[in-house]
Amino acid sequence: MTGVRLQRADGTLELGYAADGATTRLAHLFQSDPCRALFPRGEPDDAAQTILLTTSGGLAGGDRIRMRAQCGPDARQVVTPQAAEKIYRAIDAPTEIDVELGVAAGAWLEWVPQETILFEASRLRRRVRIDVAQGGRLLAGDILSFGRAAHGESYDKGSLFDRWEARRDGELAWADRLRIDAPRRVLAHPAGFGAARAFGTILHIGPEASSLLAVTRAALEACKTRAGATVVGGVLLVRLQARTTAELRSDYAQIWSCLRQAAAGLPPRMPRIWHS
Amino acid sequence: MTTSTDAAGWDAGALYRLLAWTSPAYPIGAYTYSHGIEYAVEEGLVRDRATLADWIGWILRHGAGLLDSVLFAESYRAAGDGARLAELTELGRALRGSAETALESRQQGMSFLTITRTAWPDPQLDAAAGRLGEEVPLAIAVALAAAGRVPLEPALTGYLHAFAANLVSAGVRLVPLGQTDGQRALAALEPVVRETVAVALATPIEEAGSAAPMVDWTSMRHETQYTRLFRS
Repeated sequence: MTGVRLQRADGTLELGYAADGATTRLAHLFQSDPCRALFPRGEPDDAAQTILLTTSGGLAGGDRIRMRAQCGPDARQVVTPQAAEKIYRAIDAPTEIDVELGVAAGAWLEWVPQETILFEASRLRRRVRIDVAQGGRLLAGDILSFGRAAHGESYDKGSLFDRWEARRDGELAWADRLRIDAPRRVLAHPAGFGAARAFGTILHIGPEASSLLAVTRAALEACKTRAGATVVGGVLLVRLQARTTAELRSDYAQIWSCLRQAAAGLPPRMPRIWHS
Repeated sequence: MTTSTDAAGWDAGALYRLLAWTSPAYPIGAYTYSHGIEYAVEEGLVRDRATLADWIGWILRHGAGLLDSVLFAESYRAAGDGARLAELTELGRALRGSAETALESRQQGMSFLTITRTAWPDPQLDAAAGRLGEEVPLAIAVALAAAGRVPLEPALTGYLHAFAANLVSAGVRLVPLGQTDGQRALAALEPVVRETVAVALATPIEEAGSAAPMVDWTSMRHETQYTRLFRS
């Protein structure tokens, strides 16, 4: 990516799902470039899937995208990107990503991440707002890769401001503000990222979230990465840190698979696209 | 309200209240919390005076120290604004990275309000307390503003000193270190506290963030640590 982009991306994706008997149908769709959604034929024993694409092949400074996924009462959906999201160098304005996830009573929404790769001198401001109604269930997460360490790429300069707010039944249950202004120091410091180059988060909100802490901890025992779990504000929160994204993805998939089975009775696996 | 002031222009008695309410001897149970340092010691991440001061310095600058300082400053300014205090309380409660750091903040805040309203009864604190959650930075900020009549900057410096001194004291017991080494660590943290106060006073809550995932990790792992002296 070189040179100044004259045309900056400003895309929106809105997805609404409604239960239709035992299945779930797409009730609302709005998409504008570079955001696209695909609806592959699902697997019979699993919830239906939506695949997200960014047609521009990455986001640079000044690019903005907004994504919104709403599951109506009793709807079930898995939403996952086709590939990693690349955040390129920003010349002046930051890249902005805005995500809103809504889950109604009786619904299951799974927001499965692939990694967001922060390239050298990228500047990302992201906001994720989650709203889960009483009796709704959400499994959502995020993976950040600080430069592609395997390609010898660094992330010494740049900035990230990542704001998460999760409401349960209208009340703010959990909030997080990750702010990195001097990546080199923050990644290296023992109390910062302790030399990790990949950072994963898994959030589960639902009526049984607290009771899944034990099964999550048991699954963490097998992890090679630095990982921990807790229940805070009634939200089950898992964090993983690894030296490489590949290491992180392997453990991340284990924990995620375990949680989707425990929380929703779904097969313990990742969407097929995750492995391609 | 009395209008007598001391030589520095403070309300009479304000310095006394600041010293009392942010003293390590104020019985809010601070000494039972290590903010994950107990696990950091077990893992060898904190092992001597230098690593202890460095670890606590990061918590102050980039962890709960900074977020709580921004919350403190915002609540101090909003001490008479019930709706804003309710918003800040909700955010302060939600911005906790683990079960034990949430307990650490809430239990100390509750104790602080109960003790202060009993020993220093004050109608302005009573009025604010009704709308105030139990998070410790909010409780102390509003008390120092409404009932203490302590200016914001020294109030926040007192709060952060208490936070830093408590973590140093936890480190002294856990590493273990001698009392003099503990004070050397606390002295080394003086510029960090000053810097954090300055940053917090200039940062609106909407722009405040932290970057201490290893601290969160130690706190999560502390929940299942086999032998524990501390509640966090």
